[in-house]
This record gives sequence, structure tokens and C-alpha cells, in this order.
Amino acid sequence: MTRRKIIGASLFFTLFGAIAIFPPVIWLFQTDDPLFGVPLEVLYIFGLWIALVIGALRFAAALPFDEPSSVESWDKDQ
Amino acid sequence: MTLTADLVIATAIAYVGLLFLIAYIGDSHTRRRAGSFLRSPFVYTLSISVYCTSWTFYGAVGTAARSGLEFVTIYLGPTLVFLGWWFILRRLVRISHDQRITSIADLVSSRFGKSSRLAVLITILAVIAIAPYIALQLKAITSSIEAIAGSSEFGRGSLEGLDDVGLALGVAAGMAMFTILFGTRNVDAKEQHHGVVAAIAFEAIVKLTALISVGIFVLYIGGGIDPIFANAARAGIEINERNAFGDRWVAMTLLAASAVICLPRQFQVTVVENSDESHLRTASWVFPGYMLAMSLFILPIALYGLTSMPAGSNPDMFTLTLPLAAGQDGLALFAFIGGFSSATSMIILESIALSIMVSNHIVVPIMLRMTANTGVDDGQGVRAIILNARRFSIILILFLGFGYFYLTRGSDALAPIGLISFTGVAQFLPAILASLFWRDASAKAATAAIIVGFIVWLWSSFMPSFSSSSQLVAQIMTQGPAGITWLRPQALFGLENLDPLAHAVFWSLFLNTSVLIIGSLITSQSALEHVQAALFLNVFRNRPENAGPLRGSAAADDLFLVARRVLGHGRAVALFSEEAKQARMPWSSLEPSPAFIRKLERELAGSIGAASAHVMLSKVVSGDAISLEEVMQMADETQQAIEYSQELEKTSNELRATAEKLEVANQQLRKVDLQKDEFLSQVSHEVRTPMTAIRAFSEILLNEADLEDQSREKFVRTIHKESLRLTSLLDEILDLSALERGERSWENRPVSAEGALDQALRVCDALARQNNTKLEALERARNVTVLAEPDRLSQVLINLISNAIKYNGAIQPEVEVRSRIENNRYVVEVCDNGLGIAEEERARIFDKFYRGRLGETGPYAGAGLGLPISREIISRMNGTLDLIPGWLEGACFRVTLPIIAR
Repeated sequence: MTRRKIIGASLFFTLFGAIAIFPPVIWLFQTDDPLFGVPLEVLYIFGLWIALVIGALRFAAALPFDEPSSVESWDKDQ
Repeated sequence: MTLTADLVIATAIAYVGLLFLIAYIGDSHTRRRAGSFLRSPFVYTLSISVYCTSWTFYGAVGTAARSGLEFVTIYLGPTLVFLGWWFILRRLVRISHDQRITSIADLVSSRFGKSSRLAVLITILAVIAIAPYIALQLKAITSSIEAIAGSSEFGRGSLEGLDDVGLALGVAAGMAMFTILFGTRNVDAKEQHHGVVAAIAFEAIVKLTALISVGIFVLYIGGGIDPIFANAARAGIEINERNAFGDRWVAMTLLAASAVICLPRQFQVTVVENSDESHLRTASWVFPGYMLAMSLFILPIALYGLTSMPAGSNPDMFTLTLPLAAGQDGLALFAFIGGFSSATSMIILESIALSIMVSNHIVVPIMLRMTANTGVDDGQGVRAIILNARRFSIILILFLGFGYFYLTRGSDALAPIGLISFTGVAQFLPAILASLFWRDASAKAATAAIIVGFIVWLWSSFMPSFSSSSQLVAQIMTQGPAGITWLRPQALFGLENLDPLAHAVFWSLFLNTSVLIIGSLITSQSALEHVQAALFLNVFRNRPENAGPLRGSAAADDLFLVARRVLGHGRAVALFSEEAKQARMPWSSLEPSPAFIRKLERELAGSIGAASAHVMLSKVVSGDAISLEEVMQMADETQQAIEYSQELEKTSNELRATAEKLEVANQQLRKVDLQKDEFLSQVSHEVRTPMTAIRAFSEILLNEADLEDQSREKFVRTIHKESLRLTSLLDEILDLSALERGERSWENRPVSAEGALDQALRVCDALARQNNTKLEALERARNVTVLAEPDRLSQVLINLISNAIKYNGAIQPEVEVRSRIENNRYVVEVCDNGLGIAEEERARIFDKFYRGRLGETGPYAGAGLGLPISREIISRMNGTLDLIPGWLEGACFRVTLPIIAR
């Protein structure tokens, strides 16, 4: 994928995370039937959270690296 | 071991000592450049997790016990911000590196024209907004000590006779002292505190392991996840309220997302303390992972606490009281240390960040104003003032927190207090986003927006928290000020159905943003704002070292004095020597270049903030005001030049495309021109031959008077013949050119194709007999109607057949004609058994004036225009005329025409 597309994908991923957390999507998982003894919405939120962390891990590796700043570094005399 | 308050306090003090040791080692490592570990992305990420305060450690459990899943919003918001680090945090870090930003007030002030007013405003508001948050930590520490003290008969120990307030005051004083020792030992050039960050990172590990230990313990005694949830359900505990995911859910997520950017301490650790931009990349997933780990056990702890603890016990303290109740004193002590860790790390960093803001944006400007002359000769002067200002601010901040604690001690839940602070600092978010993404946002509008947002916050969020301790506030809450009901703090403008938090968030941020946008549209920016806006927006565009805001000239001595006041003698000397070395000049005759002045301003800004540094240098740099206008103009021109060059690039691409098309057209034109020349020369050649003959014979007739009648008649006949040939040639040329230009009126109409062929065969019959040629029609298509001009179609067919007869050359010449229907097209083929057309001639046979071998010399020498004319005619009928390999050995021509009816 090109640089721009990866950045676009990253933006989409972030917005997707927001949509998935907010109503109305989250209402879909608000049921009275527990799964493995745990309410479904609890499983959903923590599952989504894990997925977001894994996605962030992937994007951290994939997103392009910036050129260093043109303002001269400061650490040389510290 | 019996836990007592004395033991706990002793442990806490020992723990603080350990932190101090870590910070000390961290600092000395950095100084010896050995602290590479301290600059690793993981230490950076751990320090960011100062976000998880005692609110997380204790308050989240309380929130989970009171309203189920709601606590996760506090961590989901920051998770989203770190997922989208590329879009906001990355810019913040880069800008802050480039501009030597020292705090959030510095960032906003720097963007809006290094406005001192804005910096002061944000500093004061931040101090006010953070007070509840500090109070929360004090409350958490106090409650946790009280919880342990109350757990056994002699638990109170030396706390006997001391109430909550006294304990909190003691904690606040201790914290103030500790923070001063910690954070204000020196003024760092870059406002980075590697030692403190190391200690904070250590605390992050302590609080995480403590919480997870308690979590695992609870899972163990609760029998696992399933029974805990099942018991809670049996006890009638509603894990999720019906309306859990409503306005409050959204508001809290948004608040948490903005808090992780706007809280002064978060800005300090995430942006200012960042030593490498790529660390953010790691933090983007490790920090959300850390928060996830912190949250995993909160729900089980809360549910197990609700089912197993006696009714009425404070759910905020479950993390501590559950191990205590089970007699696990060691674990309880560890949990206490965890909670203490999360509170101390927050207090230390928050007050350091705020004290930097107070000293840089309030104290230093006042001091600058008071000492108008720059000739303070004591190099340590400013530094000492700055350090003292910071120490004073730390005390002030902690005691503001204590004051809030004192006034609101009636309510006992932790989380609502934290949310009040979150809503307060969220008022900075619109201005921050505008400074990252909107060029036209103006300082006036930003100031007004923040003030408006803050007033709404004070009214609808901050003030209501005093309702339990103040009769007046309680009355305003229910009836509105002076009975004005639409000004009730939690039902502004009559908006009553919203959750109070969502209500405050909505009104404050909505009005804040509206004022910012509308205000920016109707006000204009100052020159410096203009420049800074461009710098902020184009932070990732690599540009040559652009003209900074300070230009003009200054004496090296004056500059050195200023630098020494702020940076200290050693650093100032180092800076100036380096410049002198680069300029290859002795110190004394150094003429500071604009670039050097800019560098100096950045260095100063790193210590005292952009606005103060600007003011300080402006005093000694002359010609600043004029050059500012220039700079603005330059920035404008640069911007225009960029836009213009993008425009140009687009236009030039279009031009290139057009030029390519023109080139193609030009080549075609040249080809046509060449053809025309060729045609003209051929015509001349063709005309010349008969003309020469006519001229020669007519000259003979004129000059030779005594010519015999017989010869004379022969010559006249020749002249006549050549004239006829000439006329027919010219006719054909005219015909062809008229056909090609499409001038001749032409009307295709439905005709019988076979009729035209019959006519052609009839006409050629005589010619065939004359040449002893066998003309034979083979198979025929019957009843075919095509769109054509009948005379012209006959002309073509006659031309083809007669050519076949005339240029045959075989001993027993034969010409065969057949017609058929193929793929709904009418096909006529004329074939002969003659010499045919040589391979190399086939390509040129339809060229004008091209004659086959027989055509040039034989008895029927023609002009070479028959075939081109025929082809032109057929193409006017939407048909084709081709030379094909035939079934006889000679040439074979094929005419195809579209059929319209059969």
C-alpha cells in the first residue's frame, strides 16, 4: 500500500474504533443473555479493546516514518 | 503483622524515599549519558500511564460498583487518541520540539502570536480546573489510610485525635515538600525531567502489579470469573443499567479523549518529556494495552466487593478493603502502595507541569516588567527566581486542591470529582485543535472562546459540586439564580433531560467552539500570529530555516546578558562560543546573525516559555517591529507562492498534454502537406506529358507550311487525342479532389446492388469481346438493396472490371465476377487470371497516380486515378474496396457494402 493509503487506513481504523464504542453500535450487544457467565457487552467491549490494541500494534509498524525536523537538534550539548 | 496507620505511613515515606533514589539515579545517569534505558520508548509509555491515577486504582472500582461498565470510557477515549496518534499527537510532539514548547499554555500562546495574555489565562484556568483532581488524590490517600486505620482496634496509632481534614492537610504538606525536592532542583533547558520520568515509570509498574495482584486474589477467593458474575446476578446487582450507553457514555468518552491531550501533566509527559518522536509509535499501542490491563480486573473486584462486603461499605476502597477483610495484610499493604503510587505520580507531575506554567507565564513576565533594564549582572538571578516561583506554585496548587477537598468533603464518590477537572481542561481542546489544523483561528477568538467555555464550566460543573456544603449553591441548583429558571446550572436554557455531566460538556464545548469559529471569522490576526500559524500548520513540510519572528540587529553583549540571565553562565558561554566558532570571529566582534537570534530565542523559550522569551529578546533586538511586517508579508508571499506553484504545476501539466496533442496534429498536417506536394508534382508531371506532345505537334503545324495534308491531319488528330486525354485527366483530378473534400452533393439512396452490377457487366461486355477476354459471372446474390448512388456504384464496378480486362496480359485472358452476402454485407469480387499485382506494389496500388506495370506502358495507359477514386466513392457509401488474394492467379478486388434490405 502507498504511504497515503496507510495513513487513510489508520484514520479509518481510529474512526471505526470510535463508532464501535458509541451508540448505536454498542446497543447491538446489550442483551440479557450472558456468554460464558459474563454479560455480552462486557465481552464485546474488552474484545474490541484487544482488537484495537492489536490493530494499533500493526499500524505502529506500518505507518511511514517522518523526515527528521529541519530545526537543529538540541540534545548535542546536554 | 498487623497493619496500623503508623506502619502504613512509615511504608509510604520509605516508598517515597525509594522514588527519590530512583529519580536521583535517573538524573545522574542522564548527566553521564548512560541513561539510554531511561530514554527507551517503554519508559516513555510507562510515564504516560500517569494518566491512571488513584482514580483508576480506587475510583474505577467504585464507578464499576455504582454504574457498571461506565468506567471503561475513561480509558477508551485515550485509547482512541493514541490509535489516531498520527493525526494529533504526532503533530503536537513535532511542533513542541521545533518550537521548544514547555507546557500546554505555552503551546496555545505560541500558536496565537506568543500571546502573554492567553498564556496567563490558560495557566490560571488550568490551576483552577486541576484543583478538584488534586483533591481527588488527597481524598484517595486519606481514605485509604483511614480504611487501614479503621480495620483494627489499635490501627489509628498516632493518628488518634486527627480527623480526615487534618490527615489530608498532612498529606498535602508532605506531597508539596516531596514535589519541591523532586521537581525543582534545576531549571532544565528543555524542561525535561529524566529522573522524575524514571520514578513515574517505576510507579506505573508498581500500581499495575498491585492492581493485578488484587484482581488475581479476588478471582481466586471468588472462585473465578463465572461465579463472581453469577453471584452478583443472584444478589440482584444490575451490572449494566438500561441506559448505560447513552449521552453520559458518549460525553465521558469524549472528555477522556480530550483530557489525555489537555491535562497539563499528560501534555508534560507525552509531549514535553518526549525525547524521540518515534517513541510515540510504540506508545500508540503499549499505552492502550496498559490501560486495558489496568481495567481487566476492575469489574470482578467491584462485583465481588458488592456481594461479599457488608452493605454500606465504600466501594471506592474495595481494592484495599477486600484483602484486609480476608486477612491478607501483606497484599493490603501492597494495594495501599499501589494506590499511593498512582496518587503520588499524578500529584508530582501535575504540580510540576502547573508550576512550570505559573512560573513561565505569570511570574517571569511580571519580573520582566519590574526589571525593565536588562543589566542584571547575577547570572543565576532569573534562574533563582524561576525556581522559587515554581516552589511557591507547587505549594499553592496543592493547597488549592486541599481547599477543594475541604469544601466538598461531604460527598464521598471519587469519580465525579475527576470528571469535573476533565470538563474544565477540555475547554482547551478547541483552541489546541484549531492551532493544529486551522490557519485563520485568531488569538482574540481563542481567548474569548476559552473564557466562555470556562464560565459555562464554572457554572454548570464546578459550582454544583459545592451543593452539599453550601446552602446557597443548593438553592441556585434547584431554582436558578434569583429565580431565573433557565439559568439553573444543570438545566441551562431549559435543557433538562440530559445527564448533568453530558449537559455541562455539551454547553461548554458547544459555546466554546462556536465562539472560536465565529470569532476567528470576524477578527483578524496579528503579524506574529500569522507567522506562527503557518509554522504550526506546515510543521511537517521540510523548509529551509525560515525567517523567524525576530529579525533585526542586536549587540552581542546585550544578547549575552539576556542569555546568561536565563540559561546560566555556562550554557550561555557555550552557545556564544559555538556561534563565534562558526562565524570564525573573535567573541568581542561577533555580530549576531538573525539565525543566531532565532536560535537564542528558541533556547530561551525552552526555559521560560515562548511569550516571555519573545518579550525578553525584543528588548535588546532593534528593528523587530518593522521586520515583523516584512515577515508577515514574506509568509504571505510564501504561502501564495506555494499555492501559485501548485497552480502552475497543474497548468503546465495541462499544457504538456495539449502540446502533445498539437504535436500529433502537426505531424499529420506535415504528412498531408507532403502528400499535397507529391500530388501537385504528380499532377504537373501527368499534365506535362500530353502538353508537351500538343505543343510539339502544334509548333510543327505552325512552322512547317509545306506539310502534306496527310501528315497534317495525323498531327491534328494526335493533338486532339492528347487534349482529350488531358481533359479526362483534369476531370478525374477534379472529381477526386471534390470527392475527398466532400464538396460534391452526394445522396445515397436504396438501390438494387445487383442491378448496378448487371449494368457494369453489360458495359464491359463489348470491351471484353474486343480484347478476346472471357468475362464470366459466377454465383450471384439476388435481390440485395444497399444505400448507394447508383451511377457511382456502376462507375466503380465498371472501373474494376475494365481494369481487369485492360491490364490482364494473359494469353487466354479471363475475368470472373461473383457476388454474395456475407455477415449481412454485400460482397462483389472481380478476379482475373493475368499477371496480377506484384507483392511490392500491393501497398501502393490505391495511391494517386500510381500505375501498375501494364498501366504505364500498355495500350491503356491511364492516369492512375481510377482506383483512388473508386475507393473514395465506396467509402462514401460506407463500404470498403480491397485488394485480396483471389481464386485465379491474377489480381482480385473486393467491394463490400452494408445491406439495408434483401
